[in-house]
Amino acid sequence: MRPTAVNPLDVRQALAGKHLLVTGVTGFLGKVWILHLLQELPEVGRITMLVRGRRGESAVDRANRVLATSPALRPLRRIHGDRLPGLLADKLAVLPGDITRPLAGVDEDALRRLPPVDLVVNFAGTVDFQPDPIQALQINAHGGDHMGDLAAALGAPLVHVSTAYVAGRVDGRVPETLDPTLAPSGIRFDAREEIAATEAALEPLATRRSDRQARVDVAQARADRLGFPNLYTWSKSLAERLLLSRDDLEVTIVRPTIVECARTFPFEGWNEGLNTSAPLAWLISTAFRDFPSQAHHHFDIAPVDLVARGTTLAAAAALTGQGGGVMHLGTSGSNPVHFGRIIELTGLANRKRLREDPAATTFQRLVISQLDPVAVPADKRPLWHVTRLRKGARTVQRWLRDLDKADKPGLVEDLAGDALKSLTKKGLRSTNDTLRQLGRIERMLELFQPFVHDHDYVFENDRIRALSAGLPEDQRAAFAYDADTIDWRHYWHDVQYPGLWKWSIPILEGDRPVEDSPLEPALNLPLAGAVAIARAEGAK
Amino acid sequence: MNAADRSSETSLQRRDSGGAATFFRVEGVLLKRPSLAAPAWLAANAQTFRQRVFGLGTVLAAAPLALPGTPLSDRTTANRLAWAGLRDVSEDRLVLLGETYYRAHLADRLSDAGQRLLDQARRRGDRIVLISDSVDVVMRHLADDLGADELVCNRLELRRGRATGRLADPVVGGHTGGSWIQTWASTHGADLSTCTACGHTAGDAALLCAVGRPCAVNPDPSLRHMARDLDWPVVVD
Repeated sequence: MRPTAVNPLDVRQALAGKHLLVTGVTGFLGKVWILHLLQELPEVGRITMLVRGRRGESAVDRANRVLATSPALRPLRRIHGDRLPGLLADKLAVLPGDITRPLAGVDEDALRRLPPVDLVVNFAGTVDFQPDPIQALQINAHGGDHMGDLAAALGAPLVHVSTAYVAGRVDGRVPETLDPTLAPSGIRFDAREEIAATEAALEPLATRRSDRQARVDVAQARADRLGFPNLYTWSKSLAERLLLSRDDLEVTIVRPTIVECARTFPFEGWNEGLNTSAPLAWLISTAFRDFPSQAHHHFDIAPVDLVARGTTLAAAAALTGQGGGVMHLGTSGSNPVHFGRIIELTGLANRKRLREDPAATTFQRLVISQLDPVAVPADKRPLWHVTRLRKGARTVQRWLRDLDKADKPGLVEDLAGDALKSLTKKGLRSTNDTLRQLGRIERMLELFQPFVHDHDYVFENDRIRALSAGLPEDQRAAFAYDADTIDWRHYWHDVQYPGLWKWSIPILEGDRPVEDSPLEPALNLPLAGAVAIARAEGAK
Repeated sequence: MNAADRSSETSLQRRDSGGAATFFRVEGVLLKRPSLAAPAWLAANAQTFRQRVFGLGTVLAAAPLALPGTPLSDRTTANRLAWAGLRDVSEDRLVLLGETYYRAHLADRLSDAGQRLLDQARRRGDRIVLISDSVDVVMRHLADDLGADELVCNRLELRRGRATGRLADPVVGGHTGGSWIQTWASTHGADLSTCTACGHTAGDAALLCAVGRPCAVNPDPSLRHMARDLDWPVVVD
């Protein structure tokens, strides 16, 4: 059902001629959003991308390289051909910066030279579930606050991209609201004091790399007390609270859920890097079949192009006084799908892959494809449970070691000594590999358990649907938040799973996905300040 | 498309014009596979081992009823029993594996005689009506591939995305014809005397008797006798 529109929202009019300052464009979502704008909204004024230089590569070089080599550029390449580098140079500019530094690392001189900015959009952040807490605070918490400072200095509203899972350890419907001082656990706290206290606690452990786990433990204990299952959601929530406590800034927080493969834009199945469901899909492609999750719990997946549309609506809303507060960019509130169904669809998609993949072994086709995964509550320990498998593999490893060291009778040693030794060594190598793989699976399951097993989230998405309902009819095809039209069977079986196998799982297995060749002629995106200077000189 | 949205009587309709039609009994005329092969294959590919054992057990129990020419023979009951084994199988699995089963085990097993008759019917400009006692999740792909105008087959009843184990009424079984074909003719404004029907077993006799141009295809012994007595043409591979 389409929600009643609060107000009409003309996205084209809201964004026409506007100058946007955007961070996080080298990441999956940020990149898709920029390209979505360039394709669907050619009337947008200019997009200045705040980019950090890295490992000796300047911000400009990095932005040029990342965009020019991205397969996400395909639709624009198809439309514009050789004219694309020129068009991109005309619309995009690079502003060197670093969100972990005050004012996002933008020096005052560059800030002065920047043409007036209408809107700041912050996609930057670390999406690692269990990062080093020092980094998590610097990038996600302070980084968000620094972007708030920059937006306030520029006098522009801010759209800050967070995550819906800042809801923490709660169950049921999650509303689109936030009380900045109330933690998911129910206790009251101040985000700024929490950050200061955590940093003080981390200080004695801050210098040595080997103390990483100790740092994680200290911060996770604090996150647990507040009701956050990991340091990612904890640090993202701290940023939200810092931003919503400010009174010098108009801030709209958008909270995507699990951002996954594109439905149609830039093209069907596009994904980049490792997202939440890639490890899950990889697990299910192994012999592992008892997946610790609750079949009836909701799994909130949002295709990246849906989230890009949602961000465009939020940006237009922020520019027309309809923004502010929190908006969920998810699907469970209006078109829910459950874990049991997703797990079964993953198994069915895996069967299809093994049937069609010429590289699949006979064992995979005949045995693995028949082992359909099932959702099993974590407290049940069936025969196939990963802990049992590890225990079994350890026992085999011990036997092989004993056999390797044992004195064999002379006759056995004479007749089959070498063969036995070689077989034992081979067996040991194989059990070591199995143990390594099982350890990895166990760690993954531990990391995902709060989201796939312990809690059942339904993220309300009424606000974004109301904005979408306010779109003029002729803009619906390009910008409507059409979560309700997703056919989960088709999406998961024919789009998401093949997309993961093409773009994400090779990374998980240590390979690189097959990518497009770099754009020729190469991109030559200008420096933001340089453009301003050139324009000023032209005006003289 | 949601399988539950479809009527078991007419799960696929492309044209609704009057005029002549050719009715094809799928099992035996177009396909050589026995009709219980589909529930057996789907049961063997159920999600859990328990569902697989249960499903294969019911197909096994249904097998004696599906044998033609025996005192126990009752294809309607056989179908009900065999498909009951798919109780609690999800609609996703039925739809996706239904297509897999069709592509892997049926698509390349069309009988030569059936294909020839199909080509003749197309050349005559007849409506092509397929009648099958298998289920829509499998048969819709055959109907699509053959460009059939209408598909009459069984449909598994679904509740909350899972099969209840019941076939939606009316169940297409071994005997097709009689009042069904009269109703069909009046609904479509068709003159049955100009229609053709292709049957494979004695259970199709009512259908064959109702049309002006009956044809026995790869007939079983009973239908072969009947065809000889009534002077119907007999076509074999």
